[in-house]
Amino acid sequence: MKTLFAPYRLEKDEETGMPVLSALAKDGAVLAVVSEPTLEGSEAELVSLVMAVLDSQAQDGKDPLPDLLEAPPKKGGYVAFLPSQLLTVHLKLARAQAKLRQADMADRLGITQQAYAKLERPGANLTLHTLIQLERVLGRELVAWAR
Amino acid sequence: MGSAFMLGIELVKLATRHGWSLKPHPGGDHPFLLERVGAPRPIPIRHKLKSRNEVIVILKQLEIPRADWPGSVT
Repeated sequence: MKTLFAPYRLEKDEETGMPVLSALAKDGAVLAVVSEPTLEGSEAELVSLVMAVLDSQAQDGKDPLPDLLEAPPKKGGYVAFLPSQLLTVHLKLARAQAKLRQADMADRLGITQQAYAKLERPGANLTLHTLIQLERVLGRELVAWAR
Repeated sequence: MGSAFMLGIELVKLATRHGWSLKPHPGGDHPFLLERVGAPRPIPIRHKLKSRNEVIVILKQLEIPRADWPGSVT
């Protein structure tokens, strides 16, 4: 699993002078738009909005990661998505493609549905033990292990 | 945080009149997610939209005709 990138188009709001950032997919379509008083604040918000889109698509069983770039663009601004952030997207996608509900996963892991839902929440910090259990239940790799 | 140029819910209401529907999503700080049959991806809308240009880019993304844009952005 690698860090992936989304370039953004930067414009300025004429009235407020605030930056307006539009994250772009590989096909040039707008993924998300934000405007905050600072560029740093706008970038942070953009990451969280794009994550919501990726999460939602993964939940529907559609792989959203081909929308992102594997290397930062040579020109212009971009936001980065770390492997730790993308792990929950991989997990949701793997579960959706296996046609399992959160409750099914929870049953197989011997935990409550609420506890399982926390594992899929963006920002979840999964332990190695949990990751191995999840891979076993899903029958597929979620991260590329060192060989 | 901070003041809003427009509330996201106003844009959501407008979008639903143009074939978009609100995707069920956990509450809290999560954005609204709009989906429409044939649209390749959901469109996220924040609870508070901070500038006119932010709203304009979203209106274009939603393919809402200019004639239907809210008065505050035209």
